Amino acid sequence: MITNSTWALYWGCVIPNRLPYMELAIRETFRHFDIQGEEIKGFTCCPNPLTLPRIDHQAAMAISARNLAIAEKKGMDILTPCNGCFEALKGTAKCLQKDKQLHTEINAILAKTGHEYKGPVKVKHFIQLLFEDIGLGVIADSVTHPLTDLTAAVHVGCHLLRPSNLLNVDDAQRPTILHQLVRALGAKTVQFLDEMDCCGYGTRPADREMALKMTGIKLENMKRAGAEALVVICPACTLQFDLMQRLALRDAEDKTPIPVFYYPELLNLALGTNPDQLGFNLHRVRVDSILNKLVPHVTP
Amino acid sequence: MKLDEHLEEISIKLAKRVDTKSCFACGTCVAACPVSRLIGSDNYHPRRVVKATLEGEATRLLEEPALWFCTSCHACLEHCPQKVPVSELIQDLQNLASSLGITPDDIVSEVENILTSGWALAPSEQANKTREKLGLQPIPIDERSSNDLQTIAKVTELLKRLDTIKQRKLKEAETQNAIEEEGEA
Repeated sequence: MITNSTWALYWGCVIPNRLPYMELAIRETFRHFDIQGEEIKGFTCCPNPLTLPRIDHQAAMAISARNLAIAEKKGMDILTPCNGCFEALKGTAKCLQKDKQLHTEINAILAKTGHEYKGPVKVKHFIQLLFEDIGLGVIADSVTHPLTDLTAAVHVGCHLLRPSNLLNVDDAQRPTILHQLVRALGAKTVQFLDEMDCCGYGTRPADREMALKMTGIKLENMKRAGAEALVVICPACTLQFDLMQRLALRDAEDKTPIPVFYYPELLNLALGTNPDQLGFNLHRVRVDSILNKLVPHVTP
Repeated sequence: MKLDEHLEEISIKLAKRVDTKSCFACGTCVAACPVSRLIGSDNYHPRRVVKATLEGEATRLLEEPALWFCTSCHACLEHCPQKVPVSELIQDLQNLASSLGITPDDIVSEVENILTSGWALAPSEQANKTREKLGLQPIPIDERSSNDLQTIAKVTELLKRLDTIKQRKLKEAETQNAIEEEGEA
């Protein structure tokens, strides 16, 4: 690792454009735990593991490596809150570390753009930073407004974990990080049938209806398990579960909506941040019922 | 490069990564696959992709829409007791299909977007308005970066493949028009 004093912030494209309330909650978390990050000029698409590498895997690696090279030149490690970006960037770093010949090939492509990727730069997911660097103990100790009344399902998202030989974050089949982080806030978590299945987003470019069906089944399973809210950490999962929820539950027996929270939003509520500061009105599925219960002193 | 040589190259690449013959056809990848479970293993079957490739018959998969159903969740690869990288193989085949001009429209338009704007989702004015209301800075735009991406697309096969995809689409549209005109006449 180069440094852990200031992170090169890699936001990706979905969070800044479509889900800026996630960025808001992250920046609040930075302030709370005194995490330093810097915006880096010159980053481009990670690129999206669901599109570009499906046409040309080598070009995708070169584009990822270019991003790595830019952070490396600044002498900073990369911090990203997006699962897709994490898989693209960390996956590429690991592949090139394992395969020297591939590393040389990719650098030959990068040379045409005036960049070189040497290798020391590390890539970390924001959720890893919370779990590994800040730690459950510090998080639990910082809670001033425990979320004891909340029973939630959690959805980690495939690209934080898999392929595990490249990403190596948590058990790829039975991950516990997010369950533990939610419980550290005082809330209860439930497990549900096929919890580790894809949210549906991955098959969206080929077949939107199939993607919606996958999302709908998952939403029904978590409601059946007794969850009153869902906690996510990935922007792609959020688009499926929040933005597309009404469509996904179109044919469901039980069409009751289930509010979707981004983990740092819940963290901020537990730390006492005023919900008015967090942009909850931008959620597609209303979260008022849960907010009224968790923070009765403030009505959004 | 001829298609046969392409396929051979993929087989060699796969054989280098793992002993592909180690697939003992247990079907764990099929049970792990969320798409197989949703639409039925008759309609989507990851193990048959491995089998077809090993037998040098993957060519027939390239024009099937099902080649693109893979969610890239990597559950197959993760559950495989023999560590056969099934999802990576599927991606190799998708690359091959693209080099023949076969790729779903949504994937193509997003990749074109990446090459022109630098991002899968280009920074929008509307997004910046919302960000301003939240007290967030506008999304920075850096034109030099997308030039770099276009250079990468030229040096790799990417630009050529996008062009082949476009040509194939044009040809398909022409054939379709000809059929319609014939019908009208």
